[in-house]
Amino acid sequence: MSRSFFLTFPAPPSTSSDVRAVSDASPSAAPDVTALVDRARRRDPAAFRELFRTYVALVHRVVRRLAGPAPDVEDFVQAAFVEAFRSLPDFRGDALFSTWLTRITVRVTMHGTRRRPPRALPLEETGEHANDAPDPERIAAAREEIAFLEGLLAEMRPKRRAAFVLHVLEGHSMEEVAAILNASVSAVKVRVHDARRHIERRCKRRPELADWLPSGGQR
Amino acid sequence: MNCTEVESRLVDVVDGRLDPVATVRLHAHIEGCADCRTRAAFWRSAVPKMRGRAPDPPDAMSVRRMQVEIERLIAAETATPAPPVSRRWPRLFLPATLTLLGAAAILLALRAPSKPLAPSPAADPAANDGYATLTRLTGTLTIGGRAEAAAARLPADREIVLAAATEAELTLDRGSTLRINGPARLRLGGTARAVEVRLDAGTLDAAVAHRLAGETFAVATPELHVVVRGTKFTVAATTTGSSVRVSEGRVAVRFADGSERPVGAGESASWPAPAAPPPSEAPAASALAISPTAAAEARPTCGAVVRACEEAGRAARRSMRSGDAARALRLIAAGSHDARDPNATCSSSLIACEDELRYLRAEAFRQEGALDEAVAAYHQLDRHGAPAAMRQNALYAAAQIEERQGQRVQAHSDYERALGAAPEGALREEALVGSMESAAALGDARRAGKLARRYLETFPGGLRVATARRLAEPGARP
Repeated sequence: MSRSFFLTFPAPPSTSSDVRAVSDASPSAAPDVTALVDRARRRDPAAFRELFRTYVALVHRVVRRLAGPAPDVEDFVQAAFVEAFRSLPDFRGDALFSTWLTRITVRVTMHGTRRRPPRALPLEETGEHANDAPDPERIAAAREEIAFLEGLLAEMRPKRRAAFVLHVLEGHSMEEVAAILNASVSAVKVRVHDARRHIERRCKRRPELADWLPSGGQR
Repeated sequence: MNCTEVESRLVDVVDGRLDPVATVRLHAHIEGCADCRTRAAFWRSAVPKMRGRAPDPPDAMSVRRMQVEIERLIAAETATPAPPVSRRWPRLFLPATLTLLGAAAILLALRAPSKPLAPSPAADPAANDGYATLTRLTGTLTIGGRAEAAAARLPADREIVLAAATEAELTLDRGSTLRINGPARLRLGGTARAVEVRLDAGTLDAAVAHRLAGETFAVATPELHVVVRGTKFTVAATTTGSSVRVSEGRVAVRFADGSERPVGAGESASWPAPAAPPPSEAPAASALAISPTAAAEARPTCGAVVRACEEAGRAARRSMRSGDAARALRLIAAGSHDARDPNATCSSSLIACEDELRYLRAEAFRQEGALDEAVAAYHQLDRHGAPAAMRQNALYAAAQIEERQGQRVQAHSDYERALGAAPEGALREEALVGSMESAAALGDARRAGKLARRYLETFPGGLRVATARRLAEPGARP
């Protein structure tokens, strides 16, 4: 059993088409980000546009995972980009632009959702995220899984949710998450640990999510 | 490596972030720890699936919408007044410069017999030459005690007095006409592109010619400030108050209490003169802005006003997203009321937010199906000083509505103005296509061909390349 685990541990995301980690937010086809940022610092509208097109999927995804399917997701995306473009002179290039942008996105979103009461997520709200596959059963299953994941995230406290989203779903290292959230690495570890425990507990009660569990029904 | 350390590294293993030594240690622990093995197996399976269940990226329309909005917001920020002194300006010179400027201002104030209409002649020498010609006169019209005859050029910023039973017609340089019935007193302020007429007494009929983007036309009385949106209206200033009656089009009227409302064709609005005002509180003859009233006590701060405005915008946007345009319009109206500049000192910080509300208002009208109102609201955004990107968005949206309504000439005009408003704006391709196709629809082959060649040059891989190639050919028929 243990040998099997050792041998079948998945490859890093660069070779896994199923994994959508943070790396895909800075596509290889994108232009030279450093040059773009330099041009944007000089308030070149074309550079703003290119940066937006390059990173809008990343920012939207992070906002969506932090805020849920809220009507103000687009507002947060816009606010994050405006804040980023406004703060470009402060970007020193110590971190990746995507990490710096994520930090702004998280701050804007968490600030915007701070006073919003948590809410349960009806399944129908997730209809817009249906998988493209033509199989209706697969679409329904995907919807249910997304709804379940959204529900799990919605149950978490904002800081815990942010740490979990950034580390587990977006693929940032603990150190990067700590920098993004302006927290210590140990604090981030605790938050991710608590979030994982919460999800493990909830998954135990959902037998229909067997597909998420490792094959062989270890759990 | 203990269980806690293993657990904190599980995602790092999935993402390939562990170095070989740590990987071996982790797996060694897992082989001997059933709990960690189970947990690792769970997350190894769950992490890729959770990531695979990411929300879909925004669709093309959402991306477009957000891009336009971001560009508009950035343009609005850029449009706010820049700091008067460069950061590189040596701080040493700043106090001396300010002192000199202050002294100059005091000297100017002492020399000036009365406060001039903005912009001052000193700032705009051309303004003093005037922009109006007295084209018809029945009776007596004097300036500074000197009688003027027909065909005279009327200077700006001088009091013009019409005797009783006098009728005068003034033709302005941009084609507008003013008919004044005496007795009347007025001043022509501003410039030909930014007309600001001060009517202290009498009746004035205005027929405003088509204004280009950025041109403004306003008439002020002691009680009203009328900003022209339409074409024909009458303003009267008497001892009992002021009134405006609109014959064609639409004007925006700001009243003495600071409130503002549009007045459409066939409508009128009035405001009574204050009862026996003490001389010191009489409105200054040169001030275009309506004098503040006593209700200005306990005014909110600029920050509070801006926050209220922004909150109104967010609430309206949420309502529109949920499909309730009527509620959005109510929120915008209330927000516009709450966001009124309390003391005219924070207007620069309010500009962007007020523009936002105006834009949302137009969008809400369109969503509600009130297309004529929407077009009028979009046109209101096409004004002097407005951010170029916002003007482009508004004009493009208006042109689309007009095109659907079969108003080809207006649509073509708005497409062209949208293109000219922001040649590098987010909607430049769409505006260029609209201009090109609407010119073709109007039968203007020459203009369509010119725009088509421009399109092919600017967007060689664009969606309308085939159409542009056809229209760009010499002798092509639209």
